[in-house]
Amino acid sequence: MSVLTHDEHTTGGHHESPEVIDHRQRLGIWIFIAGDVVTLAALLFTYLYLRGTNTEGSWRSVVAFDFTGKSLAQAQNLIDNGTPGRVFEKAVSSGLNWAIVLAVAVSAALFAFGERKIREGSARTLVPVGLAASAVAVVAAVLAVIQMRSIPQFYFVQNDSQLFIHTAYGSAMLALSGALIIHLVLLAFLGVGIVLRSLNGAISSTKWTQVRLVRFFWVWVAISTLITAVVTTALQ
Amino acid sequence: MRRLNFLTGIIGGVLVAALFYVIARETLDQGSRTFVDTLTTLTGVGWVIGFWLGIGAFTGVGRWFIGKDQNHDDEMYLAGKDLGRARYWKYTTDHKVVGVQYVIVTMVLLAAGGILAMALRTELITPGAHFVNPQIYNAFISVHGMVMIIALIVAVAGPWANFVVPIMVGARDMAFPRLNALSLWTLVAAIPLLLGSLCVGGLSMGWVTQAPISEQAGPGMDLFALAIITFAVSTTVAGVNTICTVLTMRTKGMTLERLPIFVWSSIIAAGLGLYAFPFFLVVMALNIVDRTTGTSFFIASGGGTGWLQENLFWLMGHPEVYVILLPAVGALLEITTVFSRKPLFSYRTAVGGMAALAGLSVLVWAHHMFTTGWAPTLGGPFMLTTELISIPTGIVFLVILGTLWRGNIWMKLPMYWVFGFVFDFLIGGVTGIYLSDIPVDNQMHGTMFVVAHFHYVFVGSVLFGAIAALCFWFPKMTGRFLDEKLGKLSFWLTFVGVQVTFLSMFVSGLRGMPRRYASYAIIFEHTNFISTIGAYIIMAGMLVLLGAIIQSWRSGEPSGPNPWSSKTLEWLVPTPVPLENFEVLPVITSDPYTYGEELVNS
Repeated sequence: MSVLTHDEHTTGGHHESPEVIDHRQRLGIWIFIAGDVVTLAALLFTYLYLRGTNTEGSWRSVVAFDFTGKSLAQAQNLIDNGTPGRVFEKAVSSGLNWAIVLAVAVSAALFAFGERKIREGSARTLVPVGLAASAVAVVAAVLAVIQMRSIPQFYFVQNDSQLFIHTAYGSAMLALSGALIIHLVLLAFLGVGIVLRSLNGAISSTKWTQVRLVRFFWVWVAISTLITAVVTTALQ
Repeated sequence: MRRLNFLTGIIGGVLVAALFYVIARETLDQGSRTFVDTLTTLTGVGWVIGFWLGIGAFTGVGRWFIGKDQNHDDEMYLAGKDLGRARYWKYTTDHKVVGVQYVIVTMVLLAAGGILAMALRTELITPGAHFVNPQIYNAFISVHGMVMIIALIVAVAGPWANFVVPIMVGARDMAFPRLNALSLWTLVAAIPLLLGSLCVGGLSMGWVTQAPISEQAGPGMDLFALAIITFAVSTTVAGVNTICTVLTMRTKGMTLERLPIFVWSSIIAAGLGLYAFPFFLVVMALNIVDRTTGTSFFIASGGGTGWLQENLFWLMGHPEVYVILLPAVGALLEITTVFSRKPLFSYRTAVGGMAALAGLSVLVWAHHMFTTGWAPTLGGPFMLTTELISIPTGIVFLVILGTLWRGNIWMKLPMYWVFGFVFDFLIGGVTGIYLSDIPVDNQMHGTMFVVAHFHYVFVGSVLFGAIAALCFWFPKMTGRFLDEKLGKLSFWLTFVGVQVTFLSMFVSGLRGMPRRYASYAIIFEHTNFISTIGAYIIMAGMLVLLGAIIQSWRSGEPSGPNPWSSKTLEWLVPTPVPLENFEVLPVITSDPYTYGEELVNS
């Protein structure tokens, strides 16, 4: 390998230009998102695989005790005296599913708006808009928690062992909701971080590249939520 | 930030783990079937978070969050400037320090996995030996497998993609130095979880965590799965860093066609890891939630299926073989061209072969499931893709032979391991082709033949490649040669040991001996006895190598900056390498393998 060490290129000192650092960080976030795409693909594969195999006809049903609408005493009575039957599980509310998509989309749009404003030179707008985007992301996370809690558990008896279980459908929905909540909490953290940095002057109309990086991730989470909602409402 | 180090990491980990344990114990329903698993999992999560806090992994994140970024002095401190040996025990961002830390971590992992291997082989020395009981034997098998897989994933990519790749491309550091430290210390956090799984009952289903046995295992499974999730995070972070470094930090003139071949192998492996390890993370996460929250992903009675676990696992599992293999192959190609004093034979073919290996490796996962009954009609296509992968494998193999062919071979220590690799990889590769054939696999699946096959690939090939890389770059890392005499003794012991152990294991397998059994029929006695003797010879070889490393690191013969007269950039900088590698960034004007051109030109 032939090497020159006195080219003009080499005399710029040890510090890199902001453009170079920005280029690197953009590539980094895209590669992270690519990894996240594979994670989502693995979870959707899980959902579709379980639905497709429908082992023992148990995709959305289970032979178990159904405690829906029963008090604790009634439930205990059912366990002691009843026999389990095939219980069918309602699909997760489509309305709630799409409400989550809407909330995430709104939060992404708000953040993208804040980014556009700061690129146009209006740094003040980013603070309220960034906070609003984070708040809406938290609302979406709360909706996702409500969705998780709406997934029923069934009391299940097999070979003398007794346990509470989710159906395959409920399990897959839990995993997808859980992954979404983790992403939304991360978004809220990043959004508030961007706001605090903006307040401290670390982000300004001339230093806004990190806002764009966060926006990339935010938009990806919105897209992934949409994909998940389409799959889980069209293929229940 | 300045007081945090490995010790505070351990203290933080233990304290937060204890806190999580107490809170979980007090708040969870102790009568619940999932109580123990949830308690174990939360305690493990506490350990990881506490370790991160204690080592200083969140310091940069916290300061980013409040908008008070680290100043230049902080960054120099983090890079280990003027810290002496203390920097090796801290959250240091200098890629060379991280490279050295990876060497140590790899050696710890190999030692742990090796001790377990010796216990297993000792148990198998005679049919009726009772060195360990069958339950402990199964736990040792599982943890041995995973410890060694992790050790080999990081054995080349960890130390050398960190230590030499940035210098090879003419960069001052990795693209994201703090993430670099994070990947290393996250791996460190995973080790106690993995080994700790043995202390809480272990697990009995092998490193593949086969469902539904994994659903029924004790709390060792929780720590095991959590260790894998932690490791997957570490590897993903490291992969992003390697790819960004190479794609965005190359110096002027370092075009993609001038990249040293080891750099190519590193980024192809990193890219493949980014595809594979999310599956690893997901399958282990689903396993944990099955065990702690009553989901039914892998439980047939609740609508789940073990095939889902197998598919998710092997979607990761086979690409992972090439994540392990490719960096070792890249290092061996690098060494071969230097010590043959010839340009690399067909550079573009080598890059294309490695890329094809990576591409095909994602299409072969179901060959691990030929005997499970899953999708029999897909057996043919998967057999075909698996057999196709032997083509790029053969191409890469031929590149090594082509580079050696009529070369002016300089038989120094690294070349011994290269020739060992060539011999062993041929055996490991060819037996793999047999196993890709469905009729043969139906006979051989689950036997010691399979164990011998992948040990020829992992020990005889990847480990040899990792040791070759260590011998080759040791002078750059330490400024001293690795002791040739002890190194050669280690090579011959290990090489002979591998043949004795695994050739006789092939015979055990051909005669029908199943794997993962603590005891066996009397007809397998002789071959198992021979295998165990071979394993002890390998152990002797490894101990000699360890002695050589320690002795050479402390008082080996000084090597100077470029003892092999190599032409890649890492050899053109001083030894020890300065903090930011280059006083002035080099400009590259030719490809890296111009060996012999002086002779041609004259």
